Amino acid sequence: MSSLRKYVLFVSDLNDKVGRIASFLVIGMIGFLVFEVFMRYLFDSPTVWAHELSAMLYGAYFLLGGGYTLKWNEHIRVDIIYDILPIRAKAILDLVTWLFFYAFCAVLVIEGAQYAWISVRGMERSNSMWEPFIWPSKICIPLGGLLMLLQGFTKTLNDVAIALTGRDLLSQEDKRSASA
Amino acid sequence: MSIEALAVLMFVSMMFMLATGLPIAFVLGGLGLFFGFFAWGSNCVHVLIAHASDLMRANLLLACPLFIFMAYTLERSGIAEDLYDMMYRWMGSLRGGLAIGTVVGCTIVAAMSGISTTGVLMMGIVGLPSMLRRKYDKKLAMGCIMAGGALGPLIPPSLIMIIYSLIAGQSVGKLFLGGVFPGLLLSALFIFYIVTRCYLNPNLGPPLPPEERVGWWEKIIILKNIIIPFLLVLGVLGSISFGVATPTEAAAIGAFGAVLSAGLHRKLNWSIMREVIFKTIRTVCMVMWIIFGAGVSRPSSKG
Repeated sequence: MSSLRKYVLFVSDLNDKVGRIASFLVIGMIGFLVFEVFMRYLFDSPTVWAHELSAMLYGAYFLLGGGYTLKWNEHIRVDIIYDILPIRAKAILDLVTWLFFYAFCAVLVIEGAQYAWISVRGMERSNSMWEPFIWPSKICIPLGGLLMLLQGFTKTLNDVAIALTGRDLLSQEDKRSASA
Repeated sequence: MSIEALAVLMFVSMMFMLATGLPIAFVLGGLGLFFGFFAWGSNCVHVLIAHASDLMRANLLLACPLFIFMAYTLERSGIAEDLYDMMYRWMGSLRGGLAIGTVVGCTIVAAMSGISTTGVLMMGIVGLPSMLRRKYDKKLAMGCIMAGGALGPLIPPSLIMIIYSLIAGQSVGKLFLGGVFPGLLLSALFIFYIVTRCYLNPNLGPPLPPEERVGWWEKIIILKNIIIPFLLVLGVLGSISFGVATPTEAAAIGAFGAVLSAGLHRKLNWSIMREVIFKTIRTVCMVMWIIFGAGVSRPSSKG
């Protein structure tokens, strides 16, 4: 049990860190785009990179933040029926329905890794005027899927624990230390 | 199986899966893969990745985090207090005046923010306690805040219209323009409703007692509170409609302006910014992974 608990705490902590770091990319996007508008109107010299760079940052932003959002349970769901179920029934239902989640993320990781690998091997560049390397943002696809998968697995472990014992895997102290 | 039968089956199973409480993003993504696999075999997995890389290049979607960041910054920027203060002085003497002021405030907020929670939170936090203290009817006070919040996605900028324009291939400028009149009409109808209800039954929204009313001079002075919201609306909507900037750039300008106005109100500190930034990524990911999942099921539903 304790190693499972360690896994859950480790993954939650990892996603918290990655998500928080990724969340600051939004400052970059705002900064680059405002800079672009200023350069265009005040100095009449638009940049070639501002839009593309911010779009690349955005790709990394939402892909890497997926696991973090899952950790905070903020992926929206329809809970009309779900909410009235007893806690054990919820866990058992989730064990079945979350197979969809695993299929989705597994494809993202496996296919995304091949796709990213081709891009890294060829040192692929974007076909725009600026021509940046495009592989760093392609790597984010399998990476984001993996973070999501790891976080989703902590939920499944917890669901198994609830289905078997009727209690959460983590004690209250664990949760408090995880959210700190 | 024919395409029609497949589409019907897909729709039914989507409804069923949604009811089970699986997050919407995974319902759409999982079903898309499942039916894609059924229809085309293992090649369908490429759709997912192709779609991921398409999304990463969609410049318009970049407006989502920027508008959400702007909305969350506005909530904490102190503009709400300014707006409410102004409405209080101008409308307080009318029957139901604070409720009218709340709807007007929500309309102004809706022109700065693309989501509905901004109006509800901004006007709710300052407006509700003040209305209840003045013995306003609880239902009326809550109702005008919630109804006002609904104007957020209708009056441009609007997050939902940006996403719709991308998925349906429509012009975002036209969608924005289409939202202006219905939004203002609704706002006017809300006000008309409040005025009528309070005229028939003054107990719902009693006017301020005479000693709390202010003179014309003070009413004019307080108009300065609308300068910052006006500049923000001009910066975002003005630059889109006059073709100065793309919607994405306008969103960036708006986000920058929201940070500046929080700074002017001396509300800009590390803990608020941290909270805004973390809240932004969670909302954005929630939205984006649904679009992501929807994109996977879209090609399979087209057959």
